[in-house]
Amino acid sequence: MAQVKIFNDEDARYYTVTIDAVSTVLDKVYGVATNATLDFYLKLTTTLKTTAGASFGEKILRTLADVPPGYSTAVNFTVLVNDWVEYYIVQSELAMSSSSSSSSTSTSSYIENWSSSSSKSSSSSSSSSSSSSSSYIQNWSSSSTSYIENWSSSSTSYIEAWSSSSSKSSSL
Amino acid sequence: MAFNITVYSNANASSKSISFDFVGDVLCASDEVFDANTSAIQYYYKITTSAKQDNNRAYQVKVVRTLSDLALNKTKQSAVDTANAYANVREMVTDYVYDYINGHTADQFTSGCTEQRPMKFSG
Repeated sequence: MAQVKIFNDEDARYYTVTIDAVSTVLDKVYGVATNATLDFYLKLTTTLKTTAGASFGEKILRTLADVPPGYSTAVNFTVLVNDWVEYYIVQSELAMSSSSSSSSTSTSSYIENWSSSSSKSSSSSSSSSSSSSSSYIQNWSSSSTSYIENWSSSSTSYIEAWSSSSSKSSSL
Repeated sequence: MAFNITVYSNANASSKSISFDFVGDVLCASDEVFDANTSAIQYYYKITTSAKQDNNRAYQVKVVRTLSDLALNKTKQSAVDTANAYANVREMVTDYVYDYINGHTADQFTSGCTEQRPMKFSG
């Protein structure tokens, strides 16, 4: 599960956009009557509201073309998620907002067992930041993953990239 | 919240599990060069399993960033000889699970992939 945390300076509140990997059994596939089958997709939910105060509801993403209205097909899942976050922020008319992201792997017993046998492969990292902090990055934590092998040596470039990313969101 | 695919072997009366999670991580040591104008956060499917290949080697963690990241060296699907992108997440999951179970030969479908042995259910 990945979760994007959005801070809105206007009302000093945090909002989240959550993206889950989901499996379910369908009795129909895409509206066509057929035998029951498994389906796999992403489920998008958010605590943000429309300007009328209504919920955005759940969004089911099965392909990279399942983008917000007016957006082009995403080239990868990163663009897909960023497009939806941007859409939610714009539709909610948030002002002076910034976003951060975190993720966590499943807490099922399967993952726990896997962690004990090979923590390097199954660990996850998370990061969070607050735009209201004077030091900017208020809370920095990570656990070692196979992707983050040289965390300390590469942290500078990460902060630079992150700062740029956040300022991009702040302009909304 | 991830989901697990449980694979049951009737011949060996044993099960193995494959986990699909969708995560957003900072890939500081990935093969992608950081660009200050793009987000440092990458969102992708992360596929893990505690199962072993039939030569007792563990499977590498697999990362799927786009539906064009095909199971064989990102260039070919595993079940059929095609370079077409997966039509949806369901096709992607199905093909990766097929690849885990059946394995593939080196350069399968001229994809340039290395060999992956079938999944081990015995012992």
